[in-house]
Amino acid sequence: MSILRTENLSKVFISRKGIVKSENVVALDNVNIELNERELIGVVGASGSGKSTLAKTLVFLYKPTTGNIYFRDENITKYKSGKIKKYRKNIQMVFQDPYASLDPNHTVEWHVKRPLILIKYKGDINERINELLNMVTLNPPEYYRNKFPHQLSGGQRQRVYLARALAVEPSILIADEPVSMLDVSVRIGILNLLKNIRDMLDLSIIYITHDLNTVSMITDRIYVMHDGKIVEEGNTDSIIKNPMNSYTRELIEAAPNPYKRI
Amino acid sequence: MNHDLFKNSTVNGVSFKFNKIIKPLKILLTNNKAKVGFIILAGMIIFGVLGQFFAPYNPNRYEFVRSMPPSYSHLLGTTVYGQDVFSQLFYGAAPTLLVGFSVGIIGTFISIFVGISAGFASERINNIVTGIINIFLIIPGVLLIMLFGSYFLGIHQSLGYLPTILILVITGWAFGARTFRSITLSIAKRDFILSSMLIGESRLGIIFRQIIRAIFPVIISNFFFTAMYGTMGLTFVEYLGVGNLLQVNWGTMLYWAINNEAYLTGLWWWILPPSFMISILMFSFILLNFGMDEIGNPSLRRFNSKKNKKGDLNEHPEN
Repeated sequence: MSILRTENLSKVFISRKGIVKSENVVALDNVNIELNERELIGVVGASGSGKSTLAKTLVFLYKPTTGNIYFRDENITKYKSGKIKKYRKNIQMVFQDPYASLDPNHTVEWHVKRPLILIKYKGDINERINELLNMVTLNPPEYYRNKFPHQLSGGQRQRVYLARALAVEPSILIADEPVSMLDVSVRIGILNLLKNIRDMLDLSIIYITHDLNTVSMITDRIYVMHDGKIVEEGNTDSIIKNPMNSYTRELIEAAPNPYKRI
Repeated sequence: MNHDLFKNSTVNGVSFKFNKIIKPLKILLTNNKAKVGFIILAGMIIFGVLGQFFAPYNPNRYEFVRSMPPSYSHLLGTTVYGQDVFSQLFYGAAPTLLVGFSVGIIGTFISIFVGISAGFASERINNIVTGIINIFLIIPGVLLIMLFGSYFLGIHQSLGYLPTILILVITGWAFGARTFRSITLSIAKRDFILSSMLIGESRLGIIFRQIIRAIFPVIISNFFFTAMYGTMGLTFVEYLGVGNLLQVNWGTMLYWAINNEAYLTGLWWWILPPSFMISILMFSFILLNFGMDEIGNPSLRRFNSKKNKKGDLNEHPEN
């Protein structure tokens, strides 16, 4: 059963050039994606292909130009602010840049505590913060709680952000290039974490990336995006092994391989 | 060590509040410019407070020999009306500072309110408020001061310095509002604000918990700037003659000195002291402003390697 589904979703940005002249930039062009319960899907594409726009549209940071978004088979495209707030309790997003997504003026504890207060968490908030920090493998939690973001490494920041997103207890997590800013050695850790969290909390995850190597490690299905369109979709293994679309083939060719020399 | 400090703070709320005040002050005083500015300003405030109680003569008494040069009994001589200049300078410090600070505080509050609401509201409100700010920026301040000043002149006596402060706030808030608006606009697009919107924080919550914190150095700097405008403005208002000229402050002193052509008749002890004091006060504001700039903007900050070697590792410049 699909938990999140888009139907001919389009997003057009209008960039003004002078008083009369304006140019339409089509960021998303009739995108149809479907996310099933407890599924980890990947959205792959080069930069500028509309991946991040898709992510931001799904969490209503952008309003879609045309098309519909269905959450648990309910059309939520026309939602206004109050309902959007309620919807966002079900969907959270991890940003690409962990150096920008944490407020430099606040501690780790604050970042995890705020969502807990906002969802009116019933139990012991203190306990819950420790639990969440443990979940994202920041051990021991006491050591990290009073740190400021600038005292942490990129991987640790991304974990803190993950804890913040998970504190809302969402059913969908959108990870917008969560590892692209991180060291290669740290990436595996974060990806494993994503996978473990999916298994532990029954989350559905949309993993957005330009990196085919990491996508094949963890995802069940992938969508390949090019110029705002979905050009290919299907089972990860079959697409990687046997790409139909020429663009997908190019992407796979371009993926770095330690045994290949230019 | 920093770690320990915060550990204590969660246990003891009072010491945490105390640290919150002391820490920025400590950082402020590591900057040499800010340190000098702070010392001058503190000296001025002490001078102003003492002046209210220990002025040697009544500043308004017209009873001495006229136009006396400085002597031991009249440290800065007397005016052409027979007033003691030092008493006037001493007594007039507090009102001058008071007007400066009130204009700084009220003006900054208005510009924070208008600027942030313009920068963080919907696009339509943003356009309207930006229009209002621009109108206030374009209107020449002198015209407004003359207009409001002459209107309030009739009811001045009973209101004290209130009309002057009001005039200066009206003419002085717009610049800060514009600054706050543009900073808020840029911060509102950052990921950590978007993230707070995603977890369901309300707009007011984001403003008070995050935006104010993020722009705090700019708020302080804007406060000094507006306070400077207030002090200068007081002088200006009094100089134009639209303030209450019976009040004793550095502005009225200058007004009377210039009106009686002290600079032509050689009464330098009448005209120089208030000018000098105002310049020094401005200087301290400017120094504090530069200092705050270096604190708020890490790229202007020079890392003091000497200090770090001394084992002062707990001082994180980013905080």
